[in-house]
Amino acid sequence: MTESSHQQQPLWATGADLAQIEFFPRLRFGMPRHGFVYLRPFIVSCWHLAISGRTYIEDAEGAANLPSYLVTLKVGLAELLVAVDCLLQGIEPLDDHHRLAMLFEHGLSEVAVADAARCLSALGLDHPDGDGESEIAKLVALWDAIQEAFPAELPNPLVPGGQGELLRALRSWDRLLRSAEVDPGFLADLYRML
Amino acid sequence: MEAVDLTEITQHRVRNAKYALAARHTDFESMSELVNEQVPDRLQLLLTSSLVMGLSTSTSDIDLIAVVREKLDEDRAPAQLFGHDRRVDLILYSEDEVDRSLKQLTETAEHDLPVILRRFREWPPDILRPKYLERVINGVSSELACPYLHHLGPLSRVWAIRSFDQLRAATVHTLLAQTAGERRSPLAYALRAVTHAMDVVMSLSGDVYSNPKWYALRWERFTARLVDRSVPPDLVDLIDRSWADLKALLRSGSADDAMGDAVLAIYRSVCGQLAFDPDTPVGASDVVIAAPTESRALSAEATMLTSPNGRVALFNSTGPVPTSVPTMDAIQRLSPAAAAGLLRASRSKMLDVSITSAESR
Repeated sequence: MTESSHQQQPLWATGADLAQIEFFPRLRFGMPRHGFVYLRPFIVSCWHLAISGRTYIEDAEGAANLPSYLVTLKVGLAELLVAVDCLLQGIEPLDDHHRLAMLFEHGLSEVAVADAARCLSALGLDHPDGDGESEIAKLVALWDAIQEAFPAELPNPLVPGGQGELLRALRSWDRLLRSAEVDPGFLADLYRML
Repeated sequence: MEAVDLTEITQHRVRNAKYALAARHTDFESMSELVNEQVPDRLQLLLTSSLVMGLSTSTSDIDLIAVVREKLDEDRAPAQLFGHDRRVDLILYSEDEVDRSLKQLTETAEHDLPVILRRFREWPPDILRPKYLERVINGVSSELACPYLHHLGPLSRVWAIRSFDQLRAATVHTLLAQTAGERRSPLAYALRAVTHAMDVVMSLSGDVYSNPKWYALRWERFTARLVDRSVPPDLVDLIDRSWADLKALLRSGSADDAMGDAVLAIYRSVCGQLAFDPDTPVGASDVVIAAPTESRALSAEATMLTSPNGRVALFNSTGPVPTSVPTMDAIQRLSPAAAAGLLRASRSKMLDVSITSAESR
């Protein structure tokens, strides 16, 4: 790849104001969804955000002087958000191969109403060698906005007492699934993958 | 893989482990006491993951694996303990599970590349998952040894090949996306290709760590201390330059039509390392076209395709239906519509570009 072969037209404009991004709009608005179809992907989304999402942010907080590590953490978080976006749409998540590509082409629609430019900026992927502390602050701000907007409390198993919280959430989900006549068997698989 | 010095690796891992625990104001003795409350009777207590690989940061938690003699409940989950102001994740495996997993790994590594991949994809569910097997093999025991490190050879081979399949898929998708005229996704696919190329090279040299979030940092450190003479310097340079270029493209928000060529060059070079024919057919699809009357159910110009694996995807019937997949070099000669069709088929899970898919036809 050479300087002379670069296209001049930028693919995205940089700069995104987190305050302008709307998170979980359809979940908060209320859409007609059949429990039999939607409960499982919704619960798996909660799981992904509560466990993997938190882990990425926790990891990022220790990566201020490791820019290479921060880039790959941002990529991992981006891929997680795309998976959750697919689940909340009621579709199967894209394979790992395509998640980042989806974000780069189209952004998100369920986790946030955010085009590719806004997503890349919010995640700091447009600053791969940015100042570590600033980039971490950006990710923490994004995560705080996601948690704040998510219309349910996400258990936090990463703190003392958190596993109890997680087990209580699993029991609630189990009851919810059974009441909707959905097989709760996948909850055990989720728990084993902790 | 050039022969690695297991003694040197063990010393390196033990140093990492002791340093990382000391940085957390703890040590193996304290970890043993903490675990004793949960698992008093065990064969091995292993410190694993980022702490033994020398990668941990101030917020990394402590990952332990305990190997016990007795049979364990299949429904168990990792336990999270809190001690010394730190979260400690503890997983238990039985000696039998570990032995069967290592046997599976050894037998898998003896096969050719496509069979290794197939066995990896069909890994038995009643043994350790590959990422935990990797942790056991790389783990440092409370006796300051690496009791399973002699399995590093088979692990290196299997993991390198697994990452190679990911590199290959990312190369295919980079080329398809670029040929289809997508503007941003090629950059995403190229990032994936380059980071997996890093992992292939490192794994072949015995530096195996399954978590992708560490690939780029590991690469930085691996190349800084590179001693394995079997790693071609040209390939290292190619990967380094591509990584730098990709980051520059992310910063500038630019596209680069030469991106596909760079990724293809990396792919071909890595093929050389694995003695794999880069012109092996990419993959195959099992797409079945719905009967003509049904295929026009939506409009005169829309075709709904179905596949035996139950997928459905909407295709513009003015474009070609993706029923055949060319070799890697031929992708760039496809029409944009054909490339877009194949890309859409892959995203819809109707097209598998894994080597296992190609080999089965």
